[in-house]
Amino acid sequence: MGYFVKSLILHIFVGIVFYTASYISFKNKSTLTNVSLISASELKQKQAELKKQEQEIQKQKVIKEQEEKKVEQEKAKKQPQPKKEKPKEEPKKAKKEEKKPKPRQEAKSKEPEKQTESRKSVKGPKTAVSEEVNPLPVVKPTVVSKTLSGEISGNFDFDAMAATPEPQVAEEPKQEEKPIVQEIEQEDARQTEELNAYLDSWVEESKASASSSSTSAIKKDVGLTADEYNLLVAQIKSCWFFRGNAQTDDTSLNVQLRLQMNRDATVRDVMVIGDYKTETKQVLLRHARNALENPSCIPLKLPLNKYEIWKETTIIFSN
Amino acid sequence: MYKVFILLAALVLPSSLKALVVNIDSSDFQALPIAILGFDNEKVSGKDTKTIESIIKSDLDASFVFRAVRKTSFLKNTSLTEEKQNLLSEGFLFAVTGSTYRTRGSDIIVRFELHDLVEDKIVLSYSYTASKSAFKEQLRYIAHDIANEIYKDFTLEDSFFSSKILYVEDSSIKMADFDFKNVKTVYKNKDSILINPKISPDEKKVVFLEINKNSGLSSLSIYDMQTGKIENIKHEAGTVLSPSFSADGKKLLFSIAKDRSANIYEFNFNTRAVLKVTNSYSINVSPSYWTKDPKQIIFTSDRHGQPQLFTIKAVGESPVRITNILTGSYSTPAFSPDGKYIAFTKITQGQFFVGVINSATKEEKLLTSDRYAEGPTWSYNSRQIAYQAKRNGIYQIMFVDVVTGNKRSFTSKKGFSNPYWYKTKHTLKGVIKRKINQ
Repeated sequence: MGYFVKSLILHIFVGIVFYTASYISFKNKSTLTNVSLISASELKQKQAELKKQEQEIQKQKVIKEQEEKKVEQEKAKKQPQPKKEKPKEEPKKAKKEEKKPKPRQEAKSKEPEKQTESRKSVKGPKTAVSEEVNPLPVVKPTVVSKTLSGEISGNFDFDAMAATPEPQVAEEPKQEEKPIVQEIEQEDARQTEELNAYLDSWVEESKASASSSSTSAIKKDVGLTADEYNLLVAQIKSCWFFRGNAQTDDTSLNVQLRLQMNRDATVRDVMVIGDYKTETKQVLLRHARNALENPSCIPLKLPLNKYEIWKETTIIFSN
Repeated sequence: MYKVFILLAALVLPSSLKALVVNIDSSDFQALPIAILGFDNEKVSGKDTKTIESIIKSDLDASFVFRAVRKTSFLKNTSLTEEKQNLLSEGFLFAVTGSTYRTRGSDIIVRFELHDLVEDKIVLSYSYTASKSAFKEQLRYIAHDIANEIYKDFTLEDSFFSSKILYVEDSSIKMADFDFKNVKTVYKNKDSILINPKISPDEKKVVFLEINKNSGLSSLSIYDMQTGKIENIKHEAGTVLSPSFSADGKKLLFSIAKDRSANIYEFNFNTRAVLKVTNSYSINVSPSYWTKDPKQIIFTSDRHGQPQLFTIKAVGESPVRITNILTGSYSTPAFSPDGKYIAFTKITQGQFFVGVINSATKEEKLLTSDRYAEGPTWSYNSRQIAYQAKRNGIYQIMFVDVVTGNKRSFTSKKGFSNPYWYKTKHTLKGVIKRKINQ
């Protein structure tokens, strides 16, 4: 009898838990579906509004804390001196705790908006979100590429070629010395800048794709506008001195180079893809390498604000 | 080790998918500035050395790939390293240096180097060793070969610098290097009009159409350059015209005209048999074999009203028209040596054009327009087309680059006509060529 009562109570308890859980999840779903379609500019405005709101909340919290401090300090004045240091540390910790979840909150607030955008726009913002998660430039692939290029056909030393130092890489250690809160703020600012730049390019792309159909396929892949892409191609062509017969259909006559780029659009590292054992292939490879070492092609004409798009660039030289 | 390699490749691959991909599928076709510096000479005629320099320059210019400039004042008292900055500031990214000298055994050695001025290194170097007599004979071919090696380094294909041209000037058939130097008269007859000279692949026989100025009678003549004998090909069916050798030189295509029709025939040198290829009451002329498939023949026919280009897959098959009858009249087709293109002349609305048709896609591309443009003939690297055209009332031989559309021309007071461009085998005889590894 005792067991029956116990199991009944347990069943009722479990039932209540499931009901509340399903109710909460349903509520969340309903909020997702109720968001209306918005344009890129509206998205920016909303982001700005959200930021303002958060800043106001934080201000209010800070004011409250300060008021609390004052009350505590007044209390401390009455108490002996050695206890003064403790309350100073507490607000700092509170600040950190408050500001750390900020990017997460933003990400959450952006996600529902992005999901409801038209399908074309999904690609762009998605990558922007991923940038928020991993905002620092990826260093590992270059190390991998170096070992790989060594395996395949040897590496080229482009250190001498990239005479200008990397400003961003040099700045990174400095950033480490700064307080964590400031770093997060800077990252937020950079992320929003990058996101805005990406959205701008996306709007430009959609405009450009309507005018030119030939390069639209390439643009979607590369994330550059038609003008940016054509400018880059024209620059490299002016440095590409191979003069093979353009009428030929020999597809084997091509060179593929994967470049690791610096933020100033100079080449940091080159990985050669493919087999270059034959004499003709070596001649082609030499021309390709010369093209990238030509003073007219240093630095490459790339939009500096789109580093994430071209930090790894593959150039295919073909006949 | 391989497992690690595959793992590393797997790690790199996903990131490569995100990378920006840039396709550079052609150059900007701008001619490359290249400096030809004065060759050093020791115990060799300075005139010969300068001839080599000037041939290299004119060959590279003729390719339209380079803009060569002779800088003979350089290197007399200074080294290339001293002059490098001057050359770079003048826009030269590449330079050619060389030397000619006589060995103790009285052989003559010609040596050249191609310098990459940006990289500051020698890219290419060859030496040519010849006896004194062989050097005199082969001087031009040594220079053409130097230019060819430089050209090859930028195009990965052979040039046409060591080629020859057969052409008609007044009442004689002449043979010259492609730059109209080293001219030799092959056949001369003041009483005849000479048309359509073609040389056999073994470079021993020349076939042409000879029309007597007085009687008006014509005959197809085969001239043996070794023996000096002439054989006339006659046929009871009518007048024989527009000859063309097969790639192996064993067969000859021509047309036989009678009354108001002309048909194509194939003559076998071994069996002396004549095979009728077309059977039509129209005019079928200027036949030639397809270089890729010798069974296939291309020719001009007016069987559909106005002259158009037709192909026959094999003797006995029915012809297929490959040109659009609505766009104009087409004539004098010629397959490119690589078999990919058919050069033609086209007349539309009174204008003469030279163009090419892609033999696979049948896509047409017009290259140039010249008055009375006719008889296109290919360079053996399939890059340029020579043809005859009239300028200021005189026939000239014009050259057009298939890739860039650039043109050059040669003529004399009496006029040049009926060009036939071919690759000669008689180059670098008695010359030892060596690559000098860097």
